Amino acid sequence: MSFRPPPCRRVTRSGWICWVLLAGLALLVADLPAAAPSHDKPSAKVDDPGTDLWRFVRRRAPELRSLAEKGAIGPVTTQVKGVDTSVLINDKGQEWRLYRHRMLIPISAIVLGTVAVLLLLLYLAVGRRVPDPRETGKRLLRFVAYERTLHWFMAAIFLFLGVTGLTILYGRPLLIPLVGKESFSAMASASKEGHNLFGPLFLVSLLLFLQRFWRRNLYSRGDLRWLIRLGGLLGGDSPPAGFFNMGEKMLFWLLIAVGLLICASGLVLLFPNFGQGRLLMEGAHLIHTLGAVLLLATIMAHIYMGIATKGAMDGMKGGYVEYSWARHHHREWADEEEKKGRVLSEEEVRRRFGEARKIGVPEREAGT
Amino acid sequence: MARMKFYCDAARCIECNGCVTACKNENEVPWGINRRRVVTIKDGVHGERSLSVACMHCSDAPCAAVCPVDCFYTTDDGVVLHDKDICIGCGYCFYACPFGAPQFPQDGAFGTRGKMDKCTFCAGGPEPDGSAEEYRKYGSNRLAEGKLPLCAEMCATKALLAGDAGVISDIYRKRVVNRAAASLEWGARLQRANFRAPDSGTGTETRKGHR
Repeated sequence: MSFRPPPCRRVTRSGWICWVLLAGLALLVADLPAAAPSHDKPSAKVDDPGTDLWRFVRRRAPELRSLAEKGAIGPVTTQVKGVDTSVLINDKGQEWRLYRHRMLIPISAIVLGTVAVLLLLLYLAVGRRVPDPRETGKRLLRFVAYERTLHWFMAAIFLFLGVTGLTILYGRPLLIPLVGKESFSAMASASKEGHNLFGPLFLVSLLLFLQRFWRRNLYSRGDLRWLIRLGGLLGGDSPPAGFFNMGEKMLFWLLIAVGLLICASGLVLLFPNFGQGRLLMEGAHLIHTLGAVLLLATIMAHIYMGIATKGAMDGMKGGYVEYSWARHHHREWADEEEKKGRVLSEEEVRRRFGEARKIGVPEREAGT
Repeated sequence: MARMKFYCDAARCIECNGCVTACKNENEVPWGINRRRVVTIKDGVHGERSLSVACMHCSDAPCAAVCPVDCFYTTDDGVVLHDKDICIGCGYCFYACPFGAPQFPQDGAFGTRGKMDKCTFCAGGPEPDGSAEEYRKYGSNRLAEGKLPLCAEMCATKALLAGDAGVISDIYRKRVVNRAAASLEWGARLQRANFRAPDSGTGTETRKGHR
């Protein structure tokens, strides 16, 4: 052929046409030897079936199945029943190992350690100087008993799952040198069983949380302004916020989204009796651990806020918050409550607690 | 010290599953578990090959690397063993193993994994050699008796070889050389000697010089 494509970078319209024609010609030529074998040159290359075989060894079952359906190869079979028994080489196992050892273990240690150190520094620099809310003698009911129970129920499960999960992840490098293999085996076994038992309960608490709080966590006007000013962290007065501020709302939706992801992947890992393959379980482990590290870091910040923002913990302890605290941090909510006449005096709150103690039931609460 | 290895010769394995049965019987492997399995590739078409696979006793064993309780150890013979008293049944070794060797009995509700079970190269476990406790947990300890794994010893076609890596590779090397020599002598294609011909392909080139 005399035609040679121009070596220039810009391809003109005629150039394009030539390219297309050339491609078509190439396709035609590719088919020719089958019809008329040439005797001058070596004919079609014959793949060594042995090479082929070893290539197939590394392929995964679904890939092999699709090849078998096309008639390219016979099926891969085994008489042994079980998960992935017809897979000769599981090449994703090594990738999973590298993920766990080169990424997960060092990076999550760095992330969790850095967050802890930063929060400690923030506490020393700012947090411990935050004064208690100004005493006004007025209280507002923030969380009813059900909500507080739900919160601490979830908190307990979360911390338990976090501790047991981290025990399994970091026990070998950190705990085995301290307590020995036998004692650590017992600890790890308890961690595994506990993690498996309480994991599904976390899903329950998550769903109850979603049902109880989703409406109050919808985006409302002014939230973006709160976010831009970081809730007054950079100085100045706290920007106004409703029942929940934008930070709390973001925490809520992150918790729901990542929490559901963790629960879904956890269930995949929890029930090996459904015969799911290793690839699915390795992927589930990846999602489970990434989500867990993300949530652990976020919850560390959440715990910091509860401790550093003086007066905030009262809402989760007894349910009642100081009016001046509510006015400072959740101005719109406090104003609304005041309009509805729900501001209580300190004596009233104390009387309610006293009464509850006398009768032996949880305190009566105004509204739900 | 020896470095113990398995090798399965794909040109010889006839998928009789004798190794699977021998292993199961010799080691009293629990119900639902097979420490060894035979996988057949291209089943029913030209070029069909079978391979018997179990724990390959890796030098850098992924199972040992990922075990969160560090229950694996390598013996002086290069056999990878594990301690069932330490194992917590997390399944990580199963995810990491390239050969699917670690097996788990269902223990308790919802298929919860029990203690991992895998091929021991017929070398038992950490308990004293030949003790009843060792037999109950890991099966027989033939290595301590000076015998090789029963799967390989029972293999009818001597496809599955077990023993010191040097000896095994020497045997296999001789086989390959013999096959190549046979193909030259008989004029068969080299490919045919080791692997059967493919379905398609003319193969004119390789037939040159054919008698």
